[in-house]
Amino acid sequence: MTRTLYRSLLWLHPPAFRRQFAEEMLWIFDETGGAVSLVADGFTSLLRQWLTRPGTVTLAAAGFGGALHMALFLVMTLPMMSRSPSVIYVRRAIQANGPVDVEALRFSGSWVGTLSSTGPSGPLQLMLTRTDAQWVGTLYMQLADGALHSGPLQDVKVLGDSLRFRVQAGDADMNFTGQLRQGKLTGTLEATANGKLTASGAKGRIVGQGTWVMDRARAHSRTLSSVHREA
Amino acid sequence: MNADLSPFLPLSPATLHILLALAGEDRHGYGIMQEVARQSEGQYKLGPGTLYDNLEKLMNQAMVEEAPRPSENDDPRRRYYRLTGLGRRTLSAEIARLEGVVREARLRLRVPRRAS
Repeated sequence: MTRTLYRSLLWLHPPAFRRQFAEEMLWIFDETGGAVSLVADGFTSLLRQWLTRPGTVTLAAAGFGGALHMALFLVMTLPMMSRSPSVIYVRRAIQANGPVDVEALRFSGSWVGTLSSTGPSGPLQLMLTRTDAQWVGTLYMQLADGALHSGPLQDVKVLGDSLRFRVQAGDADMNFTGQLRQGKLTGTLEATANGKLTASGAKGRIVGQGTWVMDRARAHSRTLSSVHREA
Repeated sequence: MNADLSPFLPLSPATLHILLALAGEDRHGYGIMQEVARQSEGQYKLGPGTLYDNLEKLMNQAMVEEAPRPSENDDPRRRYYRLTGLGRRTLSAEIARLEGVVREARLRLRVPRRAS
């Protein structure tokens, strides 16, 4: 009975969290003999997971407002256009576009700033977008000698306010970890040798550490990507 | 130059205990819970919900990562976690910060109160 309740609580967690940890949590529940206190802990976790997931409240409010708006619209217009194909088109459009993706709106776009590290340092530009639930993008970087470099983002992970991605830069893997706070992206860089060049040392050796900060690029401002296109 | 870890500090008690539990060796989730209880002499107990909420955040911040299973015969439902370089540096920075707090507290508590 308690196990069924705990299992149901796990099932109600956000899908990403559930996929990653639910099985293990259930295993711990079994290992500890299914203490009732774990059900309370599971319930707290459930609330925290939904309430602290950025965009949940906004999305719920937007969804409620949208649903109310749509209901009023349908109540007022349906009698006039019964059997009209427009309703079907509206429904298909909603199905095609899905709900508003708040997370994508918060991180997508062009970010400009600077990197200062024991390795590379200089102006940065990050282009980030999400397509089909996958984050993709490019990082542009201008080194001290003025040379412009760019590379595709790899292993991009966005969760809550946090962002992670990796860029391969010649003989190093540059691992960026950051957070979105008050409209700014700030974080740390750790560059490790990828073993392509023996001069950089063994694979995994740290070859650079530093910090970076980025703001949203202003419209029509000259950015590294526009310089890159012109070159 | 050391990376600025200030965005990650101060750590919450749960985060501090989890990082501390992983500082010695790789552990699975239940192992982390047991180690946290041991380190705090039973005063701080983590439930799986709190543990995995925090582990998710720490993995996303690249402070903790999944580690390979020590043995092929291990229960496949058990996953192991380990501290990354960033996690270790953040833990060290938090311990240094807490040392400062303790030093300051000792200093203030030593000053005799004025008689009213």
